[in-house]
Amino acid sequence: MIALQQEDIDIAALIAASRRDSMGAQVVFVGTVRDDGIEAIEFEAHAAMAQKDLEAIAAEATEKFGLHSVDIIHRTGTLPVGETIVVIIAGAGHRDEGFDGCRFILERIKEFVPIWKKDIAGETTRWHH
Amino acid sequence: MKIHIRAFARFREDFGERTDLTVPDACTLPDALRELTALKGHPETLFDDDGAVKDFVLVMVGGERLAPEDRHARLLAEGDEIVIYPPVSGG
Repeated sequence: MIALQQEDIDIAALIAASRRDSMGAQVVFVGTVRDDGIEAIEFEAHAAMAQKDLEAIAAEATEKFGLHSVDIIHRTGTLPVGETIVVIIAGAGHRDEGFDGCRFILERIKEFVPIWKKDIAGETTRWHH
Repeated sequence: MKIHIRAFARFREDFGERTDLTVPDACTLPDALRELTALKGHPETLFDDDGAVKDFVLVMVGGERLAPEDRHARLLAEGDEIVIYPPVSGG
């Protein structure tokens, strides 16, 4: 499953849904809102382009690492400290491809997918770029 | 001809989410962005002191990302959608 959504993510259900008998590894990355002296982060996305990019990244990682399944869900909207931002699940035959693929996907998301974040602390807000 | 410019994140706060512009036919991308800042202000957000589009400004035309070196000469077409945004920070 590749998606952008505001709602929280049922990580356990996602893991179960993407599991295959051919897998020996499911590497799961959960990005969360860290308390850097803020209350929340607002995430904005160019939804159509971001969805296309996430799908392209999943295909690229599948090809590059021979992954059996890829799930990427990125949330948008205002997320308080401690909440889930993004979940990436890389399913693979063995742990090496799983870890490498999961890391690759996250770095590619950070590289060019049109999603932006703004820190919120009381009345003060600050875009990351 | 008519084009429209969509802005995201910090740029949206400077220029608004969507701006419809009527521009001359042989209009380049930088020309269109100059029209935008003439209308909405904040030229310093997009242009450096020499009047060139700042490298960190990311631009798509018709859903296609443009590399900085391809932007200055890019001619626009009727109905083009231009998307401008700051560096991304997802994940």
